[in-house]
Amino acid sequence: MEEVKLLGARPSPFSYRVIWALKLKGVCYEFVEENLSNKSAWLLQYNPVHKKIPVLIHGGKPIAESTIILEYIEETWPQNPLLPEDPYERAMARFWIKFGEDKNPTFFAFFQTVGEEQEKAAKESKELLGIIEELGLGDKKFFGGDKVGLTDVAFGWIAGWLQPMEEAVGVKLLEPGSFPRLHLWTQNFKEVAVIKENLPDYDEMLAYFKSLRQMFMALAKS
Amino acid sequence: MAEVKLLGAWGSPFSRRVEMALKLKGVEYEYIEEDLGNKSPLLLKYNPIHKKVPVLLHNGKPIAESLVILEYIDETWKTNPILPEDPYDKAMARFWAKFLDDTCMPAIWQIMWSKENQREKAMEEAIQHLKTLENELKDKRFFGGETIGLVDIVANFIGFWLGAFQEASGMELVNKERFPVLCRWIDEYVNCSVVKQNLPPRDKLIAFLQSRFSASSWKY
Repeated sequence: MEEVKLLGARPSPFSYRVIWALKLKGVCYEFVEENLSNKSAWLLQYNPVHKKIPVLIHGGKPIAESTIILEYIEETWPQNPLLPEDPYERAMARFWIKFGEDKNPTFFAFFQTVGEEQEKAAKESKELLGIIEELGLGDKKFFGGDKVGLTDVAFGWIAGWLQPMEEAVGVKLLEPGSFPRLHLWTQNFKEVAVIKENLPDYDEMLAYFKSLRQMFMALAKS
Repeated sequence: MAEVKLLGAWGSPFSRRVEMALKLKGVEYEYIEEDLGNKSPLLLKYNPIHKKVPVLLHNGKPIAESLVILEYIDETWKTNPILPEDPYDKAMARFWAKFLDDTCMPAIWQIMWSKENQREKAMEEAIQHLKTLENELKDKRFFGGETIGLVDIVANFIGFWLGAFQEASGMELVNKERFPVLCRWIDEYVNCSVVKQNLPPRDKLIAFLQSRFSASSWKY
């Protein structure tokens, strides 16, 4: 059996996407922690184009970009399928995964900016959460239906990372009253055994986001 | 017979990507031209989130986003596959398609729309990314190998639209001196029959771009 390695960095949610997918399929792998302020020769060799984590290395062959890694994992290890069989349903799953990716900058802006710019980003972020809840999730338990799929894994950052981000910024986006279905999804997602056992520690994340937020605020003032 | 419709726009590279894939696989479809300055109720109904073309309708069910549509087409109609069968090669094709759309295209746009004093920097960045792309091509006939594949289809904006932009604006990013391998690919690409049949008329495109540039009083 060929060796699987994952170059990642805690607490990156992109890293965790790959961890969850591998664990949901029971694939054994070796995790290699990257120091992003001092990138290893390995990382630069295996992802020369973007120099980012995560990078999956299977039998010595590297794959970069978390959503592409997720599709590769799904195709290579077919047990516990994380994408629907029907091509139309698969297209819908991919649409929502892409939607999440394309809208990342709005959520980054919410975290990185201050003042009017931040208010605008917060408003837009809430609109996006509304679209994700209403049109993406609907009345399903998970984006994947009755059980988690790749779309849930891709949106997992909302379940595990959004809250400490909100706390560090001091602005709530995902109010349970405003987004009851999405809020319930975050609870259900975190209860899934593989997810529950593989979430970063809340207090560590909060400390991390608080220090990042201070840095962004200082940058904004200068 | 299954009904396939495509909401598109004549000048849109994203729209043309889908047409190329459908034609490559011999899929019959009804084409509906959208006026992007006056979007139809049909478009707003079938792509309420992005309100953009292309939208593929298969038996009444809509799919938006060209990359998502291309994957759907490849899975639904098996003739002339546009993605490799091997999962690793497939991942590589997806990687380069994403690189084209998420990295190359925004960098090229940045040159077109940046202020004069930032243009050189924007140009350098775009050149760097295109060199990375060219390096991936190496001595292959197409990104897909001997025949065009997903990456070639997605690279249509480099294969054709970029040349039209350059002529309409006077900006020169890609030329034979700077990108000999990419230019060789461009020549092969636009002469490839399935591509040739799915390109907008060049003069019409250049005229359209020129009028857009002058309307926004943008000057290169």
